[in-house]
Amino acid sequence: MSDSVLIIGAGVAGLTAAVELADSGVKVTVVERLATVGGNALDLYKAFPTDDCFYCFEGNRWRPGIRKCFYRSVLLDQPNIDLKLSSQVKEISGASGNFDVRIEVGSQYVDSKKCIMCGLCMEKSQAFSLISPQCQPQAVVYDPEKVDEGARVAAEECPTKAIDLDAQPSESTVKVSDIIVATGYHEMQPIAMDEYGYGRYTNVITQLELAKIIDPNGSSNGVLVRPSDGAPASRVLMVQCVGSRDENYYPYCSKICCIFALKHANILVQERENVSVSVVYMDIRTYDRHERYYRDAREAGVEFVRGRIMRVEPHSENELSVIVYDSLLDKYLKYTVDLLVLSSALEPPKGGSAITSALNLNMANGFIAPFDPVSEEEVVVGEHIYACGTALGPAEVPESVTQARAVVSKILQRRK
Amino acid sequence: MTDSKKSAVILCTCGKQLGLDYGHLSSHLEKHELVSSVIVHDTCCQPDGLDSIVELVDSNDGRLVIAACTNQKIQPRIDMYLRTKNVDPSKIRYVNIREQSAWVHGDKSEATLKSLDMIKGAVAASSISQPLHVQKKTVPPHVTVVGGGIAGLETALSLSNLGYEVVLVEITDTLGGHVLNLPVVAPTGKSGAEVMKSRLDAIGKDNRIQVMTNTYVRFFEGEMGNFTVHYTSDGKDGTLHTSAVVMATGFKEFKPVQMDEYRYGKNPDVLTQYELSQMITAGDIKKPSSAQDVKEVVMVQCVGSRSEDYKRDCSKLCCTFAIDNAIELKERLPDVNVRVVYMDIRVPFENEMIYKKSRELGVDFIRGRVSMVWENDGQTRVKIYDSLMNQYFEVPADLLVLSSAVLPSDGLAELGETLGYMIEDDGHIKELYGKLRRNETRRRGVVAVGAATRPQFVFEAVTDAQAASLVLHNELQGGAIETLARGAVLEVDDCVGCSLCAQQCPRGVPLMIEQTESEEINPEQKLIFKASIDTLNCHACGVCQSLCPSGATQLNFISNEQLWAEITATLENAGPDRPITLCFYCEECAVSTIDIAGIRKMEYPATTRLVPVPCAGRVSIIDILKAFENGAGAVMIAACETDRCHVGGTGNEIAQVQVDVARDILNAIGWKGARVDMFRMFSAEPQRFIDAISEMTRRASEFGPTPVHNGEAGKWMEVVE
Repeated sequence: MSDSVLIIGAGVAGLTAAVELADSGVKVTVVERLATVGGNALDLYKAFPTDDCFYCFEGNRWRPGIRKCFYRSVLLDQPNIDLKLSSQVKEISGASGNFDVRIEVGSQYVDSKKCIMCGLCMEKSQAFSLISPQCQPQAVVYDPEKVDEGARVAAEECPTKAIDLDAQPSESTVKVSDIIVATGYHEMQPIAMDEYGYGRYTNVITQLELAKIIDPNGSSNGVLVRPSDGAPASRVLMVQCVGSRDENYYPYCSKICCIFALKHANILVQERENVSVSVVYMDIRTYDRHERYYRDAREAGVEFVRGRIMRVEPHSENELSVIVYDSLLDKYLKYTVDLLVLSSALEPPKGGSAITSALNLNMANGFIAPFDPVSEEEVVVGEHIYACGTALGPAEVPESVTQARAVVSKILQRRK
Repeated sequence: MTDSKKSAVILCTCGKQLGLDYGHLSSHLEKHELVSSVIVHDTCCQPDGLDSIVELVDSNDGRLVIAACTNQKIQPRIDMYLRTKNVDPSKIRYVNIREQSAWVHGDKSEATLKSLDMIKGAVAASSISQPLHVQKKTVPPHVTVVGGGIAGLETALSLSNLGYEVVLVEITDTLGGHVLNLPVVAPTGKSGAEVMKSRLDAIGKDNRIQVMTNTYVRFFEGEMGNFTVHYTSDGKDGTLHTSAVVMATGFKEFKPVQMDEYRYGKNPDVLTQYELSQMITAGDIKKPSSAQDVKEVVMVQCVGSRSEDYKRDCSKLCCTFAIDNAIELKERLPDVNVRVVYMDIRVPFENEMIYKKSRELGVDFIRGRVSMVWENDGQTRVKIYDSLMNQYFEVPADLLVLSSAVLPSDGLAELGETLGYMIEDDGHIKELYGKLRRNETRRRGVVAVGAATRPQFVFEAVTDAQAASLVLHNELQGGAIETLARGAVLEVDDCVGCSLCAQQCPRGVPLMIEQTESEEINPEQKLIFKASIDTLNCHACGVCQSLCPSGATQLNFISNEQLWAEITATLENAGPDRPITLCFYCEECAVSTIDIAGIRKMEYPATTRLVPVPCAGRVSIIDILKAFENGAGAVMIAACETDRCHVGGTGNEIAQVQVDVARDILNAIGWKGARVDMFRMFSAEPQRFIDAISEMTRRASEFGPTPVHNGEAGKWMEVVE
C-alpha cells in the first residue's frame, strides 16, 4: 500500500496541508490547474483579519519564525512535495486507502527549478511573464498564444536552458492512500443578472477585480482607476449579496463578502486619495472581531444604504448612473459613480464536480459536506478522503489553514 | 585547515545578467586577508553550482560567503542539497547582490562598490562563525487539557490518537460543557447530546486519557517539555507534570443584570437564549413566573454584543442559536408567536437556509430595538421600535429571550499570568498570529482551542481541536524532539540577574531560576535569580540579546562580535565624502519588501549598505552606535508593521525603543538624532522601502559629515540647537 497523499488544489488550504504533511515525513503529490500556486489568495492584496499582505504563508520546521512570505516557501525544493502545475486529475480508481490516480500534466514550457528569474526571456519576448513578484514557484510563465520571434531567441539564450517551447502534455499515474480535496472557490461572474450590467459596462466589476486594481504591485501601482479609460476613480458604489441569499442563484450567504467589501472600502477611504464609498446591503454580516471593519468604515465616512439596486445605466462615457431603493427611508436614490463593485457570490469551482462525483462525496449547495453529519467533523468527507478550505464552503484564510491542519491531524492520527 | 578564519567567496552572475564588475570584485576580494579563494559562477543555484558549493564548504571548514540572489530563495535549496551530501551548511553566509544591488542601481560601478562592501561585511562575520548542530531532547509525551467541553474532549481524543498521555481537567462535575444542553446544533439539526455521545463514550474507554472533574487549575510553572500544573481537585491541592498545555476553557454567556431596560434578574419571564436552550432540552416549556403555557415569545438580538458599553464585537453565534430555538418553539408549540428583534441577521453560509425556514414557519423578524420592558398584571410587555416602518409598537411576552453576548470564561487572565499567554481586548486568549497561527499562543507549548479564543460553532471547535493537536504534535514530536539548535545561548556566569530577557522575550522562553548554591560561595554578592534559556525552545529573534546588559545571552548565529565585525567591515569605505546609510533589516517583512522592490527593479540610492538581522528586535542601541562609530552617515531599521512582528509580536516594538533611545543619545551628545530612524515594511507595498531609504540617504547628505568623520567624536562640544 502506498503511503503518499494526493492533494487536489494548491491554494491556501492545499498548500498548508502539503507543507504540514511533508514536514511530518509524508510524501505528497499536489495537483494544481494553474501555472502558479496560491489560488484565489494570490489576488487579494491585503488579507483579513490581520490586514497584512496575503503572501504570508506558514513556515516549516526548517524555516523557523511564525510565517514566511509566499515566495520563500520553496515548495519546489521540498523533497516530500511533488508539485504538478498546469495539471488536472483525470481519473481516480482503486479502493479507499489505495487509490490509483491518473493525472494529466500540462506542457511544462518553463522548468521552474531551472528558472533563475534573470529576466532575459522577458526582454526578448512578450510571451514570457512573471505573474506576480511574489509568485511561487519563483519562475516566469510562458503563454504559447503570445508566441513571437523573440521566444525562440529567449529559449536559446536562457542561461539555464529552462525553456522548452516544444513541450507537450503528458500523463502520470500515482498511487496514494489518502486524498485531500482543496479545490477552493470561484467568484461568480454575474453576467446573467441584467440589473447590474456586469459584462456590459466595463466599470462594473467584482470585489476580486477591485482587489487587483488596488494592489500596489499591479498595473496601476495601486491607484484606483476606472477600467474604461484608466482615469482615477473617486466615486464607488458597492453592492452586497450579488447572487448570494438569492433563490435564483445561490440560496446561502457567502459569509466573507461583507468583510471583503468593507476591507476594500476602508482601504479606499483611508489610504487612497479622494475616494468616497457607499455600500448597499441587506444585512451587514461582520462576524465576531470583524465587527471592527464595520466600525472603522462608519467612522471613516463610508455610507451604508440598506436596500437593493434597481437599475444601472451609463451616465456618460465613463460614468454610471445607479438607482438604489433605500428600505429605511422607503425612497429611491440616484447615484452617479465611476465604479460599481459587486460583492459576488462564492460558488463551487468549475470542474470540481467531476472529482466530487468520482469520489461519491456528500454535497450541500455544491460544496462538499461531511461524511458523518453527527460527528460535526467537517474535514472528514469520506473513507480516506478529506477536504479543507473553500471546497467545504466559504471560508477565510485562517479558517482554511485551520481546516488543513485538522486534515493532516486526522491523517496522522489514523496512521499512529 | 581547521582553525583558519578564512572564508571562500562564491560570486554568482545570475546567468551573466547582473552587469556588475566581477573582475573588480574578485581582484579586491582575492587580496582580502580573511578570504581564502574567490570563484565566479554563472548559476550557483543549479546542480553544478551546488556541487561547487559543496566543495568550497568542504575545503574551507564550512566558511563560505555566497554572493548571489536573495538567500530567501536559494538558501533552502542549498541547505537541503548540502544535507543530502552530509555537509554542514550552518556557517555559510549570504549576500544579496541581485535584489539588493544589481537590480536596483542603474550605476553599475556604484552597485559593484556596494556589493563589495556588503561581501566584506559578510566575510568578517563569517570569520568567527560557529557551526550549529541538530540536538535531541526527550520530554514526556504528556499533555494537560484544561476544560471538558467539545473542544477539550476533541483535543484530548486527537492527542491520544497521536500517542500522547492526556490529563483532562474539568472544573464542573460533568464533561460536555455548553453543547450538551443545545436542543439543536446548526446546521445538521442534531441535538447537542447526540453530537457529544460518541466522544464521551470514547473518552471513557481511552486508557491514555485521565479525566479529573471538579478540578480547577490554580497556576502553572515551568516551560514546554516541563510544566508543573498546580490544581485543586475535590478541595485538595495537587500537582502534575506535563509537557504542554491546551486551554479549552470555553465561554460564558453574558448575564445582562446591569441592563435595566430588559429587566433580566428582576422578572422571571426574562431569560437568556442559553437558558431557553436548557428549558427546551429539559422538555418543559412554561412561563417561569406562573408555569402557564407559552404563547408569545419575543427574542432580542445583540444584548451586550456590538455595544460600546459591554462587548464591542459581534458574538457570531447568537443569530443562529436564536433562529434554531425559534424553530424548535414553533415545532413544539404550533400556536406560539415568535418575534425576533434584530439589528442585522447574521447567519453564515448554510445557516441562511435555517433563517429562511424560520420565516416560512412564521417567525416574525423586526429590524429595530427594544425600547422598554415592563410588567402589567403578571404579563410582561415589550415596546419595540421598528426601524423599517419608523414606528413604535407594543406586544405581550410570555417569554422575553435575550440573545446575550458570548464572553470568555472567568479566570483566563489570572492563569495567563503564570502560563504566559496574552489576552485579547475582548478578554479571550490572544492567538499568536490571526491569519496562520490561531491555536498557538505567545507561549511555546501552550495552545488554545474552541471558544477560549473566539466564539465558535460546534463544527469549528472540532476542527480547531484537531488542528491544535497537530500543532502540539509538531512541537513535541512525540516526546523525542530533534531540532536544529539555532537560537539564543546563555552564558550563565555572565548573567547579572536583571530579568529583562524573561520579561521581554516575545515567546516567554527565558525563565528566572533561583540560585540556591551561589549563596554559599559568595554571600556578599549573591544573585538570587539568574536566567535560564532552553535554546531548543527559542524562536531566534535576538530580543534578549539586544536587551542583555552583560552580553550573557547571544544568538549562536549572529553574536555581538559577529554583527559588530560585519558593521565595521561594511563601513570600511564610509567617509565624509561618501555619506553611507546603513540599513538593518529584519528577515521577515523587511527582507520580503526589499526583495520585491528588487524584483520590480525599483531604483534607490546606491550609497546604502544593508545588514540582515533575524528580527528588528535584535538591533541594540550599541549596534546602532557602532555603525556611527564606524562612519555611517545615517542608520535605519526596516521592521515589520506595527502589531505585526513575525517573531512573536513585540520584536519590532522593542527595536522602536532602541531607536528612540539611540536618537536621544545622539541629540544629547550634539549629533543630529534624526540620523537614526525606524520604518515599517509591508511586502505588498515595496514603495515603502524606497521612500524610507531615500529619506535616510537624503538626511545623511543633508546633515553632512558626522563628528566621527570630522575627528571630533569623543571630544567635548557645545550643543547647538
